[in-house]
Amino acid sequence: MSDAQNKANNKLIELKNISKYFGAIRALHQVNFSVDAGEVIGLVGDNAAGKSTLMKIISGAYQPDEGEIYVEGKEVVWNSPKHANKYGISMIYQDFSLIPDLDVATNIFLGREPMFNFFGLKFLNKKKMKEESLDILQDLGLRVPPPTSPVKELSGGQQQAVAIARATGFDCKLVIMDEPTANLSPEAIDKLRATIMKLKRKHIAVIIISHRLEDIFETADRVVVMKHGEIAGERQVEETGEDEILELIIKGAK
Amino acid sequence: MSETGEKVMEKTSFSEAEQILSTKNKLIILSAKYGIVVAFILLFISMSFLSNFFLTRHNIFNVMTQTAPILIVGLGMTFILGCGEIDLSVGSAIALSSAVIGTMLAAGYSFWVVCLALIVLGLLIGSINAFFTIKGVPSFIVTLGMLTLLRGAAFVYTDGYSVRIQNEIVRFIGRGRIFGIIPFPALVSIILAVIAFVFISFTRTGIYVLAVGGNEDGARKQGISTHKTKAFVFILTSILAMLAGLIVTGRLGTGTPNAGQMFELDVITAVVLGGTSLFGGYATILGTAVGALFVGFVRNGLNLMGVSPFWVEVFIGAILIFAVYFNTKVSVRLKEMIRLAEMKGGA
Repeated sequence: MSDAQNKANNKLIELKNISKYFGAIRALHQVNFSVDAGEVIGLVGDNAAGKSTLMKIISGAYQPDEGEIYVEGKEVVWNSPKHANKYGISMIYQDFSLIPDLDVATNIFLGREPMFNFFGLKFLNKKKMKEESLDILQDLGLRVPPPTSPVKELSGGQQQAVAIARATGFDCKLVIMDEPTANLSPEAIDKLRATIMKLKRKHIAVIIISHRLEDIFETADRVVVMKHGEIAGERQVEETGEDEILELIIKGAK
Repeated sequence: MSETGEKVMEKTSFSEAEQILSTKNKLIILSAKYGIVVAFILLFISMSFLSNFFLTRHNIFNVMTQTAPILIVGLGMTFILGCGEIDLSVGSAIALSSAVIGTMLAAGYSFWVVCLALIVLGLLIGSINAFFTIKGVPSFIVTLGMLTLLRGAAFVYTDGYSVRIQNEIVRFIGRGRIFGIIPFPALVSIILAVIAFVFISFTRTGIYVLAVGGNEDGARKQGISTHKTKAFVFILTSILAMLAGLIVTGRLGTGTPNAGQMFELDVITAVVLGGTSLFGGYATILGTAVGALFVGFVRNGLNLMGVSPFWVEVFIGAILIFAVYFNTKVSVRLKEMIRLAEMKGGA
């Protein structure tokens, strides 16, 4: 046990022998996966390779059937995304999961609104929400939409900015991005890459799930390839090329 | 056109875009957004010219009194629609409320015991609506079933008879005037509307209602209990329906299972006319208040002009369709057109 803890100490999060079944289907089989603090990981693989299932386990949306999860060396069991959030792990879904009619500030603070007391009654501190959401957006170098406009009036890139601000603005250690470049203009993709680099500098680890290898080679330190619910291989980005990764995706481990 | 618009938007930050809107265009956007308020003001002005009796204190208070139950239940319905659900059972809930008030008072129970019974009944009806909705039955179906069930229960409970109300407090709630001037039901509805406005804009539960209605899955991922939120809106609305039942019963002077026929449709008309989305995510209490009064004053104005009551219903139906068309199509397009025009001009 102490041996395992020592080994896990430099890891932000470590998954050991994770398996997950959906009825008779084995979605994940004995997966070992770890992330260092401030590391950017590209997670690739075919459809149904188990990428999303693995990420949902890390973000608390699913519970594994077998295996353990360690955060900074301590074993954790969580039962909801909110719970994983308390450990500094959040996920940005492909659809951003924003509330279209609520404004930017409310979306960023949804679920953790600052309140003030008025004769014993609690009310939303809208001023604080507005100011702090501006700070968070600016801190990430994101173009600032007015915090009072409903998110449905923003462009795709701006909506993503709100989702990133919400996921990383509050003691975040690891953020998972599901297909972050889907539906973005080339301009917005450049912006996103800059934001990911900024997160890395702030020592926030990022996992990017993407079909586009170019995105991963631009930003990631390490690539992890999945196939049939197992890790087919992992490479440091500097030591590999698109051809090798493609081969891993298609053929799996030799 | 929309493609170039996208590019312009990418280059101009939104706050700049808001600033470069001219005052004139801001006014157009505002009047499009608050179309029902503008329509209401226009109606008010033209009616006061068309009828000498329209702009009298007596007439206005009268309409506000008649509108009060619709507004009170409309506040709850605003929350329910904002949450992405619907409650068709409110009219029958009023019937049951009225039946219980009449029968219990006649049996010698005091007013306060009746109040307690109404609260329990409201809790029960709201909980049943919420329970099946949470279990996955569409709220349209659950509350449609309850519409029939509660009306039937009201008839069973009273054997179909109406009971005259002697209780002074109940009569005051329906007909009384504060300082001999302000009708009590109107005052209650205004106070509740103010509370509802503060609640939906400045409390956690208020924005959670809209979050669940706007994106249920997204709200859940942020740790919001969608079940609790839905239970809240249904129970709130049923309890407000009990109160509306009290007012209606007091005004009529009888407790009757016939109370509140088609009431749910009046309420939904008022709320939707006010601009609250039928599909959840957006709700406006101010809109509901204006929507309720609008319907009330259209009825009243047409009556004063001697228009046949049959035609009045035709008008109100047509207004509803037109208002929703305006809100969903015209107003949105107008807003977009102006914004794009301004950005091109200003950039």
